[in-house]
Amino acid sequence: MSLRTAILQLYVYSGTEGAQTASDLKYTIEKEIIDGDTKILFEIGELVRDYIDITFNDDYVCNTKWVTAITTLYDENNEIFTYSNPVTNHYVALNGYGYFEDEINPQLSTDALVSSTYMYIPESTTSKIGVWAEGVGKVTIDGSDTEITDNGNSNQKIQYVTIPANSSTIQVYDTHDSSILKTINITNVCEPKYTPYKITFVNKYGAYENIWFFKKSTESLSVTDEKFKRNTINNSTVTYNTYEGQQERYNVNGLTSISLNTGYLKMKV
Amino acid sequence: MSTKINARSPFYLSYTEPTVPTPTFSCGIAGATSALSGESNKFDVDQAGVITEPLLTHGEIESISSSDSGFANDKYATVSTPTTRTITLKIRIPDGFSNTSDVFFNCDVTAIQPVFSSGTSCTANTTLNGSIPTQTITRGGSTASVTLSSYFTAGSSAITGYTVSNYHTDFVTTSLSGSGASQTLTLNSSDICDTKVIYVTATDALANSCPAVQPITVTINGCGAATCSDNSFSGGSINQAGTTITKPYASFGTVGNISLTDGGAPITTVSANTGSTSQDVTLWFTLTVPDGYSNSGSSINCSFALSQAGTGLDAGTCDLANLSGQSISTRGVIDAGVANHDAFYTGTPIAVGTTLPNVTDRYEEVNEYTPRTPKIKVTVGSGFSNEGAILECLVNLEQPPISPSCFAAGASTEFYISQGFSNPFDVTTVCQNTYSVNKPVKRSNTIANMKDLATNNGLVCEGDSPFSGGGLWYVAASLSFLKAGKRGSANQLIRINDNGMCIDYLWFSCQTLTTGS
Repeated sequence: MSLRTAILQLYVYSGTEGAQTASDLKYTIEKEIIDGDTKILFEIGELVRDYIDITFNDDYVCNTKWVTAITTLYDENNEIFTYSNPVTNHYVALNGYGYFEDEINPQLSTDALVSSTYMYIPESTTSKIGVWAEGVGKVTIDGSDTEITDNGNSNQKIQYVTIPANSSTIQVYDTHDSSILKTINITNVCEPKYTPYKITFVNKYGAYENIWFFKKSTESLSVTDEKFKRNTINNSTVTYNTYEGQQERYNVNGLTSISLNTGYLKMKV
Repeated sequence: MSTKINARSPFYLSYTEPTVPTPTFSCGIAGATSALSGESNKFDVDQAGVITEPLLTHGEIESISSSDSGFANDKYATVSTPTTRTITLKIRIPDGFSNTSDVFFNCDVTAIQPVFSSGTSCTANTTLNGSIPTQTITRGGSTASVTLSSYFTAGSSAITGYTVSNYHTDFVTTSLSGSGASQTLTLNSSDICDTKVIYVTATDALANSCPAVQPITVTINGCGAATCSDNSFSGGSINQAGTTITKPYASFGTVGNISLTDGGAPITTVSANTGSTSQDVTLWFTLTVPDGYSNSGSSINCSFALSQAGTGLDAGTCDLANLSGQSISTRGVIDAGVANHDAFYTGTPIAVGTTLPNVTDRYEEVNEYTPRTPKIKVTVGSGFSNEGAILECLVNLEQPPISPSCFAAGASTEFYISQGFSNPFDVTTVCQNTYSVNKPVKRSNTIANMKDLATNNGLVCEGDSPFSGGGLWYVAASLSFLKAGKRGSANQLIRINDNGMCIDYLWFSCQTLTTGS
């Protein structure tokens, strides 16, 4: 019997793997196999992204979600396959992305969730680094260990380790606490002239990452408005005041922007 | 390691036609049933010690053996008291099973051989008249005939026929011609030269006549001098270190010495395989030529290649994963717990036996404590030959009813717990500080101590409600003024799930920074 139809039920939820309830069912998608193909494909990236909430208030909350795909397979007679069916798979969803070179369904880093091996942080300032809890056993910052344990809940799959002020080296270890997976060197920047700005963004690994802009910043204000020419004639006296202008502004909007500069950085950053 | 969906990039799920799973051959699949099981086609032993082989649903019986006293030539001696008999069926595994490459599978079947006491346990009737001489037949379809009536003497009830017990149908086939007592047994030889014993039992019209059984020794010869081409090997293996050589099965029978060369000195070990993958190692095995060959009884050396495992590591197993902390909530959700071996990760549970439609990983709610045997998918990590494999490990759990109720007045024992600590318990971090153990909770009067509380998945209540433990660890003590941690003496830990069920127990020591169960 050959495969004809697949009905995918997609659950997106928080909590522990496999603990989905009926209310977590977000999509039910039915698809038939295309003639000549041997597989039925579903692309679910955008569907899942709808349910990843990115809200940041300097609190570095993990926003990953579990995704459970339960797919029931039907043969050419529209009968359910009685073996190896339905197919259930669990995934962890995060707001990351891969480049074309990362190939299909990119998994990316499973340890430190930053690309660079260098960090620039202002002197006497703490920062954060995100790590993937399933792949990391501990993070050592200048000899001080922070153990990483994964309890299976989606709300801690990305764990943010505080980088103490004026640290110099971050070492990320595997789950056996024996092999160093990544070493990050920190440069503590003394900036006497300008006010450093911290920008926190969601990086390609789906984690919050800080980048500091140490040099000159320029704020600008752009204002847009519309004008109309009004009638200033007093109807009863059939006169108008010469001190009242005819041009009136409305729909006035101001947009503030800021241009930041990092200063000189290593190419690898 | 969980598979990630990086949601800003496309993520594809693909489904293909499911493959029929290959079962593992087992005694259950073989359908080898004992007389004591009460099912049909069962193994049995009659008063005379004649064995009835079970009729298998899969596989063929290659041979039978027994370590019971009185067993010889595929038959038991008679007994004066009812005796439990166990034979081992050596079953050739047919194609289509995951363990077909093992060639054979042994299954034990059991029956009770009744007492033989002529005139008491049975009615004496047909008796033996002398013995049937050895039948020697040339290999390859030759025949020999035996006039059975010459070897049996009828009693008051006439002989109505004969039953042949032949446990070696690949060796010799039998047929009966004639009718009643006047039947001729014809033996037809195969190409196998050897000597085996078959049995003929005379039957009569009485309900419980004493069995009259004649053994017939059959020798097939004419094979000339046996060579290695007359023997076939199967099975056998060598471990990676080369220290254990499992001999192959030889159609000639018992395999004797092993050597590296034809006629070389006997060996028990070979060099280790330093490669990562398995390799074939050709060894020479000493075989004794069976009866029927012109050189029967002599030894010949035949070569055969055995597979030696590579440095690829041992396979990860459920036992090595050392699972703990599994539980089922009142809603039927299975907590997969943890694998206490660093190289294993627990994953999806499989709710074996769930009645929920289109759901495979949780159970329906129940109104009383219900035993469950879910499977936990465990991913094998690095350091094992099957790294990346997903094992399905069976666990025995109990699902609580949907509304666990706390204890009636006077039916509980109060104790105290600390703040919760995350799982797995980090003794090094916890022992850096001191904690109070003063939160009052209750357990059933019937549970004596904290360890029993975990063993029995006992309920922990706070007031009148189950304590929602969140799967965290709590230091537990009988007294409210104890401390835990760096300057504390309380050292018992219990883990409590969201439904108040105690699912695990540990002790810890801040002096040695160790934990244990």
